[in-house]
Amino acid sequence: MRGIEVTRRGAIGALAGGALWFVLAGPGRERKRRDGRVVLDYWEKWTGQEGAAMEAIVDAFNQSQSRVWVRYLATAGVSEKAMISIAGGASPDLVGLYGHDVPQFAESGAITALDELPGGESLSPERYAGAFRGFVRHADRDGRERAWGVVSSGGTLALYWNKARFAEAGLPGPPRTAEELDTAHDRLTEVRGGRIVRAGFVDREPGWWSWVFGPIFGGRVWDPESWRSELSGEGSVRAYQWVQDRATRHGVSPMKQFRSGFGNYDSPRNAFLAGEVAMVLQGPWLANIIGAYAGEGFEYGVAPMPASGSIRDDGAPVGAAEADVVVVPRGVKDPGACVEFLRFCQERENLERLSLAHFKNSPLAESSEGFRSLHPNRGLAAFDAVAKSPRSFTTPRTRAWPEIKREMDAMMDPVCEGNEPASAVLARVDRRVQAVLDRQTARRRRRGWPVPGGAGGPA
Amino acid sequence: MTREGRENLAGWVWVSPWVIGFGVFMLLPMAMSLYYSFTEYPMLEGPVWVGAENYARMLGDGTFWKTLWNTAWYGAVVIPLATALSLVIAGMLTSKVRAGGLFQAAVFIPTLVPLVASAMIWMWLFNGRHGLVNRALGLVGVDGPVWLERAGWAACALVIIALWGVGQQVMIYCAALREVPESLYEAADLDGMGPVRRFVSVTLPMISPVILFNVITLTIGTLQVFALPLALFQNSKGGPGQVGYFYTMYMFDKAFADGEMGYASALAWVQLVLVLGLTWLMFKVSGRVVHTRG
Repeated sequence: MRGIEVTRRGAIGALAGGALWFVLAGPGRERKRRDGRVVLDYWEKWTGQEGAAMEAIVDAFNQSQSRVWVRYLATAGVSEKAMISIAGGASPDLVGLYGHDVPQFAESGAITALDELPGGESLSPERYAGAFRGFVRHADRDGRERAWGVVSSGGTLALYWNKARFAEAGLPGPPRTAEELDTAHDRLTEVRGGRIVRAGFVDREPGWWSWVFGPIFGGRVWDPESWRSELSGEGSVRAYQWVQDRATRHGVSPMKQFRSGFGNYDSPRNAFLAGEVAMVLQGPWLANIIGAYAGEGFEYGVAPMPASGSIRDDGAPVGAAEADVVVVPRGVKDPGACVEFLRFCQERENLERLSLAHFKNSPLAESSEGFRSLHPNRGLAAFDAVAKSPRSFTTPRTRAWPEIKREMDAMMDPVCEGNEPASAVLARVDRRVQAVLDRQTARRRRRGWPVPGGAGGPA
Repeated sequence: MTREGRENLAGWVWVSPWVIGFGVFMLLPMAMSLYYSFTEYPMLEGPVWVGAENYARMLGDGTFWKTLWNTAWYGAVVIPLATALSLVIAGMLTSKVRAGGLFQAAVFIPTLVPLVASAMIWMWLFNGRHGLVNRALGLVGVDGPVWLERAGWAACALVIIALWGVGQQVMIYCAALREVPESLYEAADLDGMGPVRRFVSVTLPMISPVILFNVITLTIGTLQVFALPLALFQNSKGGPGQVGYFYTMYMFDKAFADGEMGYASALAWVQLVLVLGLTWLMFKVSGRVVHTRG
């Protein structure tokens, strides 16, 4: 049998034809399924158990109607990828961002305000507990405050305390003030042979929230009206001095050595579970880890984060909030279908289902009795109290936040080293943060957008 | 079309995937990044021309200098140490030893371990309380430091981890050492040279082009160090005193965390100029010491 002869011209033609086919008809984005349903691509940050919980909501939505089909895609580094895809004009239809991403995406006009979406007004943030409302609200580039998405889940931070260790130290209950926390820390800390073997409270465990200490003493990171950094303000200085005193009290090296042995958060060696620290500032999701790894006898309580005695108010606890949001990028093909999905996710039943699976508090102002009774975190009331408190706070709502956070994370090291007073460290960081904020102001001015404090804002 | 013209055309068609790929995915982005480096470009909005402002900003940017310094010391320590260590290991591996293949594999395998996995392993090895390194030091009566919590020790840890991955250089040196003609060693023996003199006068000159190649690739690699310190100090952004916060990490943060693609592009161009400058300098200096066989 004679073989097929491949000529050079034939090979070139085949290559060119293949390339042309690939460009014109190659793998592309499916916009409609064979059954006629509109396909929406939904990028979300969650994987594992949290991802499975959101996928279950997506599945339920897909089963609930026959017009729209949502495709869930777990996406690592979702903020960066969303930014690039939107900039490149190839965005998904729905994106699950972190709450602190909203200012950057909103100011850029990269996402669509709810009032521009058909029926989007029905997704008003007024339904949320006070701590979570701010996550989806932000001024557009013209300075008009609008809502930019929905809160899919949220959590507040509070103080977990190990009941057995408190009883052992003869402490009656959780500290209610910053001063009481210090006393409890001293009573709960054990030093043997110059080494710390157990501690009361370690400010950098787990080290995720370097920015939450200021409000305990009435400080704040910035003034959102004037865009002035307030890191060297009295409240912040007192707060970080409080942190420094505790970090250095038993020696910097022993503390560093002690901390270095802490296991990963998501493991049985978690410092709180292992009894190495008796108090930890965490969100409601820690109950998941406790349930998974702690023994039956592990007894814990949850209380709002203590505040300095001078500003303490049991009716309005101080505490930070975090949230995840779902937004609709600009220029999506079927905004109506997106709203349909968001509305489904925002039904109380689905929000609470997701919150339960994530071990978080409900972002809604009022959660159902069923939710509260089923919730595995026995300290849910404390988290809810923070969520409803007028003194709850979030990350500063500025697009410069990633940069400010980096500065504050890096600041914790010199603060805890204690080579210089916290005020000196804060003064330096304050200048750097102010430079970051001033750059944002200059950027707005360059683009002809309103600047904080009107035309006379910082140059 | 003439026969020559047809052949030229065919040649271009065959290389077109590479040429198009190079143009679209390398030259064009480079040209665009050069343009962006003169703009304020947050990616989600259009670029606005700012002239040389991004470059001027670097002069007063403490983090730029900090990360540049971190990268410089890291390179200055790792490049000579890695070169010396890989030469010594290669020398040992090319001498007649039993189970040489096993040792070669042991040296090379670390380069196959994903960087993040290797960072995780080292995090535990260097753990101040439970780490094997401190346990081993304890056996000889040394109270080990808290490696990853003190700036100086964290820097040492970074260097040690970098040296753990010299396998690739070792393999290249092994190949180069085997290429040195035996007759030269025989002549050296006849001249009465000892092992040190033989290494300095025969081996080093003969493998000097390979050393130059390895030093250049190491320089480029260390100037772009990224994944390992990122994974190692994931919770603290560069570790104690930000000693592990390197230039490329800062550039990445500027581009994708802060949305400052214009400034990040300027940082990238400065990095390119530094790499090119150092490479040029190495070629210049090496002209006098690198032996090229005629």
